[in-house]
Amino acid sequence: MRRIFFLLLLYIFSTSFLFAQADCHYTLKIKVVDEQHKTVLPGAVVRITNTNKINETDVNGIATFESLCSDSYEVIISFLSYHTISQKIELQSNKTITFELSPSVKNIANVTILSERTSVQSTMSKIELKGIDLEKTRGLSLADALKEIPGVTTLQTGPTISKPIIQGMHSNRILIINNGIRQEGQQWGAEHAPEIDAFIANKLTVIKGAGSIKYGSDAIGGVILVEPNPLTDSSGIHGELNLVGISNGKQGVGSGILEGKLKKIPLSWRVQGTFKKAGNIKTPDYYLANSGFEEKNFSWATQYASKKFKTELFYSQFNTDIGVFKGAHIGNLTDLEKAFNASTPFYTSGFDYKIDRPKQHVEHELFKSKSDYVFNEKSKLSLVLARQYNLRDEFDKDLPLNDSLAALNKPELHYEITTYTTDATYQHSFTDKLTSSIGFNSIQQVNTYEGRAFIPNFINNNYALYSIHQYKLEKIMFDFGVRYDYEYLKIYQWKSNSVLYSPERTFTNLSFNTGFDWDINKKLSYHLNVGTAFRAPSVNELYGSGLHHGEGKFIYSNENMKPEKAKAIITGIELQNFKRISGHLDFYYKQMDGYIFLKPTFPATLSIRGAFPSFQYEQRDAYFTGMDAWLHYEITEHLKSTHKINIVRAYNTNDNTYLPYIPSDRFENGLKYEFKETKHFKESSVDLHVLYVAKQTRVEANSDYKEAPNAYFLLNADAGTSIHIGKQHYEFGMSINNILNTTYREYMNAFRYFTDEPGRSVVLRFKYHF
Amino acid sequence: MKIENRKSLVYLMLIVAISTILTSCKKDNNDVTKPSDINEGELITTVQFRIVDTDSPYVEHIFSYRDVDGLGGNAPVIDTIKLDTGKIYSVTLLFLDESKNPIDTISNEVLAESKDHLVIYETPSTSLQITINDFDTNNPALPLGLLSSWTTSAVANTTLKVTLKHQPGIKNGDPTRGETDVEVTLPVSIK
Repeated sequence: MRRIFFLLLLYIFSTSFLFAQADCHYTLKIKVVDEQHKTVLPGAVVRITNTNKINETDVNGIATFESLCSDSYEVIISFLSYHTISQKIELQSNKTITFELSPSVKNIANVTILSERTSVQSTMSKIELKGIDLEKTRGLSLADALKEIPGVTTLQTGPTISKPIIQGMHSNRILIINNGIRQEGQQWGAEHAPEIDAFIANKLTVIKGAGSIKYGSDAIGGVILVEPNPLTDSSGIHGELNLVGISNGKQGVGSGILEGKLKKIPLSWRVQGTFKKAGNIKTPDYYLANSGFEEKNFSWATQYASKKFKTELFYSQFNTDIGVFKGAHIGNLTDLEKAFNASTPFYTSGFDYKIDRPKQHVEHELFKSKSDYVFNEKSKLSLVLARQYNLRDEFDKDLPLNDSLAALNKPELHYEITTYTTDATYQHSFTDKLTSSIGFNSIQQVNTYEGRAFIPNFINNNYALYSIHQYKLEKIMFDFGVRYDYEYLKIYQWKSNSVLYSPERTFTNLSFNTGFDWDINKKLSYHLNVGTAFRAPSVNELYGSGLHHGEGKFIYSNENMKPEKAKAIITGIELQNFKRISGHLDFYYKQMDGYIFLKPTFPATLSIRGAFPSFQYEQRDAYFTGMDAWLHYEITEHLKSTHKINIVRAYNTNDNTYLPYIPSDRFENGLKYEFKETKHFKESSVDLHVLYVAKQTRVEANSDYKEAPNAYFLLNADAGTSIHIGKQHYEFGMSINNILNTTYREYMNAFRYFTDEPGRSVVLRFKYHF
Repeated sequence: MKIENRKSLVYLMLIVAISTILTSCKKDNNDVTKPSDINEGELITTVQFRIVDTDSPYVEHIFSYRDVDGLGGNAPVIDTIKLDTGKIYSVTLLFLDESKNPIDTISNEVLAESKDHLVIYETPSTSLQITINDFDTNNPALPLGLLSSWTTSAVANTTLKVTLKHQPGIKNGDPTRGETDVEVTLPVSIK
């Protein structure tokens, strides 16, 4: 830890030696709308505290402030019969910010998460990716876009399948909340990417903490919120079109949104769709055979909002076919050793869009209804109901030898999982300072399989009650939340002697979370959060024994495992133009009782196909600790440096060994030049950054088939501008990834045993708003 | 009811109607309480050697490596291949799926796709020499390995490893290529 502190100090000092007076020519426009109706609010009073400037919103609901300096300001907005809100704003360019006022009912949905608000208040550490930072990631998968956020890395299975890792944890220890709904698919698998179209999101938020009181105490790693824009508040038809071209894989992406509101009735609507197609990815030296994919997504939403009642319907569909690199779909131990020792994979190819076996076909469908009812100035009820259906087909490399079986071309593995979720919350403000809410969650899930037996059929139901309290003083906010979980699991599994094995399991737990957020001054705030989390062992850990063909592993589950329990402390500071530094700095320590992980076992499992490397689920006490930072330093008005640090340490305290498959240390440093805004050209910038990823040296000797890959440097660049002509605007962007065409392998990629990472790629982005 | 309220109700109903049309929810038609048969799909349970002494061609000796319940579960049953010294044997190799009724002879499919398959025989002993007698449909033809001649010399207790490689489109005689469909090792006793 001492070394981490030292590094950090070095960082801050090395980047805080320049001072100069910024000029004061910025314009800030504040738009105020009603949270329920999304209608503009003329006559609202907008105050900027440290300048004593006061202005009223005009007929369009906009208050304009001119000649502001590059500084951070506190904006306070008040309007009769609405709640006053205040928020800090960091001004470095001309900005228009929309605020939503709620009609005298405080909106604290929970401690951890407050969606649909410009200012989210919670004592957990939270980082958002939106605006220009999000636009830079357009065309990437959800997990790859999230990688922009420090503390988040990815677990890869080749170049096209990636899952987010938060502070060293992934899969069942992360919750993804897609438009308010807990994403439920086959998320246990390392090679099962989240089934979400990243274009739906207007904002991605990562909440680093242990357990979420509102969404589930199993979020030991954290929560990811995927949030679309609120439905439009102005009548007429609007939309946007995104086009992205990526040179590596010759990938084309098109995504569009069309939205509007009826004139006379408060009814808003939106339709959205995305199409992606990519062919074989190229490493610096060779193509990866069968690494293309095709994705087709579609969603629609509609909302009816009256004074006291608001209801929203949302439907989305995600469909993808992903080719799995042929050279990584290996057989037994002998094949594995041969593949490891091959300098280039046995299967290489030229460029092709064709998706062949081995492949995955995944469908995900979500249908959601959300209703809010405002009783009076102090109370509000909301009810969210959703149904999710997830289908996953996995096709082995080879068709069956038997011709009649082969002709069917069936997937060797087929899962269907249907999930119904309910979330009811009642919120009440006792005083101006104290707001409380109580809520109920339920998850009812049914899974079935066809083909090879691995995950059995099961019914999994979870019921939870929670209560959250928030006490807010002028400079400090406290929160406290408590949650009770009851989980029921019933399995339907054939034993080898054709006897149906059908055990029933129940797990219960009480978890809590508390913390405070202290605004020391306008530029510096400090937060501390402590809490407990709990995760019942999942079906794959308890009952998923068998050959995992995609990974060539034989896995032994362990039905005697207990729930995993965590105690966590997370603390950090947030800077807003503090000595020209802005950003986040977080430290965490998570103590895990009965951490569940896969451990290699010997001897390998013998079969007619040879020996297979074998793994057994084990439970050990462990800790996770580390630091993430995302700091911006304003060197001059136009030139900024960006620094990201990501450090995780994970240790098994029972056996005194390092935990395997933990991301290595990474540091990213960048320089960004922002051009002066003109009438037609806005947000123009060029940006060059260097990513350094250290070698993972914290692995036990002889615990892996191949040594962890070496450290690597990657040089990447971005450039972008936005052209405004009248009401329309066009955004252009370009990125070059891996400029030097560096050959490297990443420890957190399951295919690091077989192949290099992708080589240089040029990305062109175009966006049109109307 | 006020007119406004009635109007909203109509619109609400309209939304529900439109959304039902737009949304054809996908459904899982399987019964969770009746998991699908685990034996579905293709399985090689047995590697069988049919061995004929060329001096007495009317007697066939059968030795096998059997793992009828597939991967995991019960351990495989492994025969010791018993041979006499100084003989020449003609051997036919069969791959079977004995979990099916009737038994599925998978080696017929291997033969049909001979251009993508290769059987490899490996033994550490010099007392057993194995020559492959059949060839595939590649041009030029490459060895296949379902039919072979085994020549024994001195007394030995040794082992024989048999590997079936699937080499779709990449077969070139190199035994290291492709994916392993079968890899078994049996004890051999030459007396």
